[in-house]
Order: sequence, then C-alpha cells, then structure tokens
Amino acid sequence: MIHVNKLVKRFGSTLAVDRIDLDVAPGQIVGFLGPNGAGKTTTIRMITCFLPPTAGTATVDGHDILADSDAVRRCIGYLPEATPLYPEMKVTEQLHFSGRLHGMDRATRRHRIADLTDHCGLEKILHRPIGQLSKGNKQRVGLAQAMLHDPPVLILDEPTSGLDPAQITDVRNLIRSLAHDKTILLSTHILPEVEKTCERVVIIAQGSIVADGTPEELIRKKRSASRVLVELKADAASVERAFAAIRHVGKVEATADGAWTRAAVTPRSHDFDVRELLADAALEHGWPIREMRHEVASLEEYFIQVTSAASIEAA
Amino acid sequence: MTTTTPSTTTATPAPTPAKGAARGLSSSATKRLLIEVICYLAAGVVILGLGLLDATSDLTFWPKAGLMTLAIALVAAGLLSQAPRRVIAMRELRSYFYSPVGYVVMFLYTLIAGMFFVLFVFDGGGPASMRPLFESLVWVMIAICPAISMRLFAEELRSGTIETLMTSPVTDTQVVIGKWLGAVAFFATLCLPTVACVVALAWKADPDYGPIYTGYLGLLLVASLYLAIGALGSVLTRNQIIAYFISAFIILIISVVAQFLPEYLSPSLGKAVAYINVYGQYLDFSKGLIDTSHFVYFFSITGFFLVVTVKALESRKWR
Repeated sequence: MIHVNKLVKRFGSTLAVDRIDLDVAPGQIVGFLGPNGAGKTTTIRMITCFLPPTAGTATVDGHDILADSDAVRRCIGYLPEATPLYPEMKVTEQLHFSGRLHGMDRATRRHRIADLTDHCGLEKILHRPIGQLSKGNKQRVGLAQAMLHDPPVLILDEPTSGLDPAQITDVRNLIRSLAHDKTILLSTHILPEVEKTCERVVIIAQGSIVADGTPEELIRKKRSASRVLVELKADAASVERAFAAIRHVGKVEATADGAWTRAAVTPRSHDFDVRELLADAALEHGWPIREMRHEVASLEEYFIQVTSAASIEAA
Repeated sequence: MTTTTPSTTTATPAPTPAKGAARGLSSSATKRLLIEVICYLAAGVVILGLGLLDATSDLTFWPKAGLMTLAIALVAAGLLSQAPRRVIAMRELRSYFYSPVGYVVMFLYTLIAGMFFVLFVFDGGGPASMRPLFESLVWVMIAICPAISMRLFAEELRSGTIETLMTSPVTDTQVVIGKWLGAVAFFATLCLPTVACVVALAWKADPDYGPIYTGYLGLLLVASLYLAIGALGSVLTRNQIIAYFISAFIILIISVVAQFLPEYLSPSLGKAVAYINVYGQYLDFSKGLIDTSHFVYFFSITGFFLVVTVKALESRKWR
C-alpha cells in the first residue's frame, strides 16, 4: 500500500532522512519508532506530499508522491504532529471545511460526520470552538478529520503525545477500532504504544532504518544479550572463578554487596538456559542462593540498544 | 453556506460513501480550467472592446461602467470557478469575524471613513461628491490592507495548520487565490458601512452616482493589489508583525515613493516610475473616468504579486 524507495531528505547540509526503504502491506498497522529527531516526521511529511524528497521515490496505493500527488493526498488520511486545527472554528465547521476541501458534497459530509461523531465520541463537543477543547478531545477531532474522506491509508504522527494515560488508552482504542480494512502508519517515540497497537515495528535512528519486524521478533533478536542474575552468600572473586569455569557461560560480572555477591552471568549461546548449571555450581560450593532471575529483554532495551548503536556509528 | 449537522441522522446507518466519490477529478479538472481560461479571455475581450469603443465612438458613462463591471465580474467568475478556492475563501472570510482583528480593522476603517466624510465631504456649500473621501481612503488603505492580510499565511505557518491544508487535495495556487479572495471579500464588507455616507449625501444633496460607483470599484481594485502584496508578505514569515511590515514596505514603495520620486528623476524615467504609482492610477476612478489602461495596470500587477506568492509558498517546501 505504501512503498518507499530510497527516500532521502536533506535540509541544507544536514541529512534528515538517509535512503529509507519501507513497504507497508494493505491492512497492516505499522509502528514507526524512533527517538526525537530521528527523521520520523520528515519521512511522514514526504509520504504525505508536504515536503518533496531530495532523492528517491515513494508510492501510496500505486500513486507516485511527486507525479500524482493529488491522488496520493486523496487516499491518505493524515494527522500531523500536535494536531493542528483552527482554534477559532467549531468542531462541525472544521470537519465540514475539511470535507469540502476533499470535494465531498453536503449529504456525504453529513453522513460521514454523523458516523464519526458516534465513532470518535464527539457528541458533546460538536458545537464547541476547538480552541477550548482538551488535548484528548482535540486528538479525537483530528482523527475524525483524518478519517472523514474514508481514506484507505491513515498516517498518524505521534497521535498520543502530550496526552494523559487515560486519554492515551482512549486514543489507542480508537485507533485499534479504526484499524480494520485500513492501512495505518503510526509514528511514536513511546514504546508501549507500539507493543500494544502495532503488528509491525520499524525503528528509525539518525535518518535510517535500524530494525524492522513484529514486536516479538525484535524481542527475540535482543535475547542474545539477555543474562541471568544470581545473588549468593560468598565472596565475589570465588564466585566469578566458579561460574566462569562452567562451559556454557560466556561472561561473569560479580560485585560484592556486604556478605553477599551479585553476579550477572551471560550465557555463551542465547537459547541455552544456564540457570540449572549455576544452581549446581552454587550447591557444590555450599553457597546459599538468595535470588536467581532470568533477565528478559524488553522492546525498550532493544530500542535503546539499536538507536544508541546508530548514534555511536554516526559519531 | 452554513451547514449544521443534525445529530438525528445518526439513527439511520449512514452508507459509507464510495471511495471514488471524492476522486476522479482529472477530467472535470481540465474542464474547469477551460472555463476559467475562457472567463479571463472574455474579460480581456471586454476590456479591449471597451478601449476600442471608447476611442472610436462617443460612449456615455453608464454603458462604459457596465462594461467595466462586466470585465471585473468575468475575472471574479474565473477566479471563483474552482471549488477549493471558494471553500478556502469562505473559511478565510468567516475567520475574520471569529477574531478580534477583523472587528478592530472594521471599526477603525469605518471611523476613519466617517471622519473624512464629515471633514472633507459633508460640508455646506461644497460639491456633492465623494471624491475627497475616496482619495483619502486610498492612503488609509496603505495601513489597513497589510493588517487584513498579515494573518493569511503567517498564522497557519505558526500554528501548523498549513500542514493539514497543504496535504489536502488542493494546489498551492488554489490556496493562494482562495486566501487572497477571502481577504478581498473582507475588504468589500469593510466598505459596506461607508455606503451610509452615500446615503447621507443623497439625503442632503443630489450627488452624481457615476464617480461614486467607479470610486468603489477602484477601491476594490486597489485593495486587491494591496492584499496580493500582503499575501506575499504573509507567506514569507510566520510572524504576523513582520508580515505587516514587509507588506506595508512594498506598498509604500509603489504608492508613496512612486508618488514623489518622479520629481527627482529624468523625465522619461520619471514617467515610468509615475506609471507604477497606485494613487495616480486610482485618481481617474474617483473622478468617474474609465480608462482601460488602469485595468491593465491593476490586473497585471495584482496577478504578478499573486504569482510571486504562489512561488514563495512553493519554495517553502524546498528549504
């Protein structure tokens, strides 16, 4: 549905987006993830025809963003970052204005607005000026506006930024309820967001894509760096010696904590569970164990790992 | 124009509109472009015809004024022929009445016009003519027009709504023309209260309506030009105050500077500079004289500034 081919954007001498490739299949919900300033918004602005790329191409629903930008804009529903709406207009006026710009006649606009009023919960605010609305309500209006012309593709730039937790859940549910039969590209720098809403995650850092896959896949990739934490009553040096002697153990870091020692053990191969061997070794030496736990990597750690690796490379 | 949504329609499940409903414009778009071009050509023919008739035969005032109005109406029809422009212009016009700026400008303009009317026109024994009022209003517009146009783009650039607007299926030209037309329409509403002056004049005296008619049309043309300059000033910055000063500066060059500079130049160059002078071009309108060269002046310079505005808006993307 969205096909991005080696898209580049330069602002003067700074390279904001560096040869990004991205394919989004119809009906997919893709989370576009990255730290602030990674190039998410710039990429989205190029796909939505707001900014022309320096090099490369992209097509949406088969239409080229440069050659046929009118058709692209018609099949995209776009919610820009920070939800810009006219503060002086009432919600209905804003929606009708947007509908008119899309060439919808009055009957169609009324049907769609009535539909979306139900869907996005706008009944109470329909006749209030947008400037008086809370951020959460503004976000609902923005989403309704993006959906108004019933586009096959929805592009949402940080739809939950600046909302309180209740509003975030709210907007997230709204997006999920809209998801059927729509292709959604959603950018965010909040991780749980992606884990909960998206089928696929694309991580971008320093203008290029550093990871791509389902949230589970990405977590599995990260497991290579996962480790086992053990706390036992012994001195650090002997614990380190004893654990390092085990064949499957790759690296041991032991730190003393009073009479206790905290050891972080990294296995040689990530799919091998070393906990049993560690317990055996502890028993053998007669060391009491206070705690033993397998540290499971979260998407968050993976995110930090890949994005910081990219920034180190860049530096 | 006002469309309210009755919430009762939610009772019946609304059919989702066909996805193609809003598309398939390509063939009708060319048709609409054709209509627009025909409108402009027709306006050109009318102006040319007016010039020829004026030179060859002795036309009385009102047929000439009629032809002039027809030419302006044809250009307006051409400008309004595309739906997105009408939509944007309408929103722009209404937004003036949402914000205090619209009312402040309207109050000041009416106050100044009324003051000038009492001081220069509504004077016992003087000629029953609006001419002094019109000629002073042209100078007032140097300050008023940039205030009307400063928010056109600057506000959208600052608040970010430009992003929603420009990612809608509208072209840069449609946005510029739509916004400019909205500002011109607001200026036209500004002039409505001054009609009271005409009524007051007609109550106490018997004025010649010819110069009053052409005076108003001339004011509209001057406003169109100043607002096109204002649109350019507004597209260059996201700060409304800076937009005001950029526009006022350009307007001052083509009005005040062009008015007084020719004295210091060689006669041939002075003549060229004097031609740019807006006030000089307007004088005939206030006198009730209809000269086609003034149309060519206003249409071409306004068009020039609108084209530059479109280019400036486009260039924002490449920075």
